[in-house]
Amino acid sequence: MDTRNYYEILEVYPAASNEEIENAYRLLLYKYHPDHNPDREQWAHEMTSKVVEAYEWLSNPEKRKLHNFQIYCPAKRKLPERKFFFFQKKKKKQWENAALRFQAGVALFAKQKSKSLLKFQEAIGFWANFPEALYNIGLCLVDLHKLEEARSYFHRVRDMNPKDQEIKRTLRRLDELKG
Amino acid sequence: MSKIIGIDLGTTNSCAAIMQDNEVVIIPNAEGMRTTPSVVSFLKTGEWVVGEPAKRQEIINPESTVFSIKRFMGLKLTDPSVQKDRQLVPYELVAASNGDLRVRIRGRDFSPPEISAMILAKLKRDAENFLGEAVTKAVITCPAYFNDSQRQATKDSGRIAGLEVLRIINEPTAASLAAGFDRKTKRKIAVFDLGGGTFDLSILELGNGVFEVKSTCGDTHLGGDDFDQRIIEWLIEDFKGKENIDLRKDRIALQRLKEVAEKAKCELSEKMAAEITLPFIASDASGPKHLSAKLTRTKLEELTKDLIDATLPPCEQALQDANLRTGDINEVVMVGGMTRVPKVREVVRRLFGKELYEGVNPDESVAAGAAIQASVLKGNIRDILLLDVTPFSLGIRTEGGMFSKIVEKNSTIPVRKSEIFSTAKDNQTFVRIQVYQGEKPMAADNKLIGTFDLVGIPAAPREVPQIEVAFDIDANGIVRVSATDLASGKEQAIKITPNSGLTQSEISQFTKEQAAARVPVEQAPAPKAKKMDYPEAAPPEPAEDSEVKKPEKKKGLFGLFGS
Repeated sequence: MDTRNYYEILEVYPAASNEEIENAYRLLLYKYHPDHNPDREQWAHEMTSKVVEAYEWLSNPEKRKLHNFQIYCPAKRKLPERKFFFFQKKKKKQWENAALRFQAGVALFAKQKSKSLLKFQEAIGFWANFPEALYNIGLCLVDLHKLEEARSYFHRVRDMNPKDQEIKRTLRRLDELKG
Repeated sequence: MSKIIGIDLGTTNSCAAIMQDNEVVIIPNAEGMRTTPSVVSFLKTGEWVVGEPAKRQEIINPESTVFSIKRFMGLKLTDPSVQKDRQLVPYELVAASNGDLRVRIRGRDFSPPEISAMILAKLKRDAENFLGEAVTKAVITCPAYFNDSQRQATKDSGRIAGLEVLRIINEPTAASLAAGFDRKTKRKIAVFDLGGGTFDLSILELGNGVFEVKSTCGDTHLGGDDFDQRIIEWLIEDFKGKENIDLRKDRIALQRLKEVAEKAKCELSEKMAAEITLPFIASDASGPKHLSAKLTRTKLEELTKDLIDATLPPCEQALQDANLRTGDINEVVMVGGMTRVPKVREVVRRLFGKELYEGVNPDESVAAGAAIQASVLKGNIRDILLLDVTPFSLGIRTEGGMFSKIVEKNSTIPVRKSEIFSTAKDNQTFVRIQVYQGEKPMAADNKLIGTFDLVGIPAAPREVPQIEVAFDIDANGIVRVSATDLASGKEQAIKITPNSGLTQSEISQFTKEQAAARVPVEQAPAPKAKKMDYPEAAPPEPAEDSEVKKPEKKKGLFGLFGS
């Protein structure tokens, strides 16, 4: 899974008010807390920790905005296909290198954003015109609270394909995150 | 299922309660009082007395009477707070071989949990007499600022006293639980706890029956004893002025003064003036002298004004920590005998700008709350939930001796948090995980609470292996730390059981000792005929217990009716 969807864990709509989130949190604690589930402590512990974590994110306005950004703008995981002619051996080799770094970056994305970022940047080093990698770099930077840098990467993606609606949405969400 | 009692193990007074038929019943002690002084006095014979009889020895036999033991629970002798407190107690404190604190009485060393266990054992025994059946399980309260070794020490005392401690809960939480608020509405509660020896203010949030401690702040050396001391000093000065005799040198006179001072203080909560008379307090060449004085409420307020004012800064600090202003507080709950003093109530009322919540008994509400939580754990109450927080940040030592926090202070538990770390050198095949607790940026300044190695990491350049370190804290506050190498899937974990300084074998040894010592001293008075006979050293299984006893009782009844 990419990022946990905390709204799903708390069983609320993403548009839920703070009060609704709080009520949902308390109700779920009732359901899951180990004090109320002495016969299945391990399960209760895991469920409760999830609920507590979700509430920690959604009850904090800053974190909630970031989380909204994360779930609406998931990372690009699929490697785009590229075909090469037999005389483009050198280019093909470079692309393969870039693809390898990209996949490593995707694998690290959920766990460790700073390392994932490095991998995507390496991929860019091999293959500059790589919108998926640029996009993922932007996401990593958002996570590391470097919004301005992230914006410049998203702009590069947009410049490559001005008709892409998705990147425009991402940029709008980024503005919301800032505001 | 056997009964679970709730115990408020206080600095100066303790209290026990139980839920019976959906109501909290405070368990009276053998002397018929609802609270028991937390005092243990050791007699020359090697036996000890607990409670009211021990309190009477406080000044006459100061070296062998232990009070305020709670201040020393789970601490080392070198701890700065211990160094300060040891000036205030007449008994001798020494260090054990591992640096832990011990109380030396007549050449024998006792650990603080052992002494607390003597108090708990009395409460347990009184509860058994009252209920007519064995009590083996309890919920015990402790201050919100207690750290995990202090909490563990409290648990250990329970075990030594023959009680299985199901949960340690925070005193302010217990008090607000007992306040019986309407649980549906959301509210913020301030619990103002001014007891015999300590003061603290906690801010809690209550919503849908979930109680959460938001912040806590206090003064561990402010309480009723300080107020008594002021009265004693005033009486001594007064007497010195009239008769030119200094009573400070006379221990027995001091003991008598202490008793009357406390009584006068309590009286002044209701009346405007109290008469203090102590006949034959001293004598000189002209004959016996009597002390008589009249203490008015205004005078008492004048004597203790600075003490009352000292409660205000912690209140403001606690509010600030919870990001709240006084106006945000919906209820103010007063706990501790000292909150009966009209001046204290007035000051608090003025601070929060609202009427105080009246529905609690300040001496008993903490024990009552513990009893309610006991009932929750038993499964009898389903609409209440206590949520605890970690009192300290937890993390591991990383490169350069830095402390990387993984679980922040005041995180709600249960909690699971993880972070990824890597190796510092090329081809490093193992990492040592050192778990620390504390708030300082350097690991060495914090407290090391556990160490383990993760071995068998495949050789790789530095910073390539990914090691996930996860912290799991369960509802009881037990911390489990695991390290996983994400590449190979190798996992290594430890459970960190907080350490009170006592080893398991020491605990079981003390348990046996106390069980053995209890029999000759304490069975002699046999206060009630209701007392059941059962081996105290090893309480029988709860299930068997109720099965065996019930028929006997019935038989007795039928016999009675039959004749």
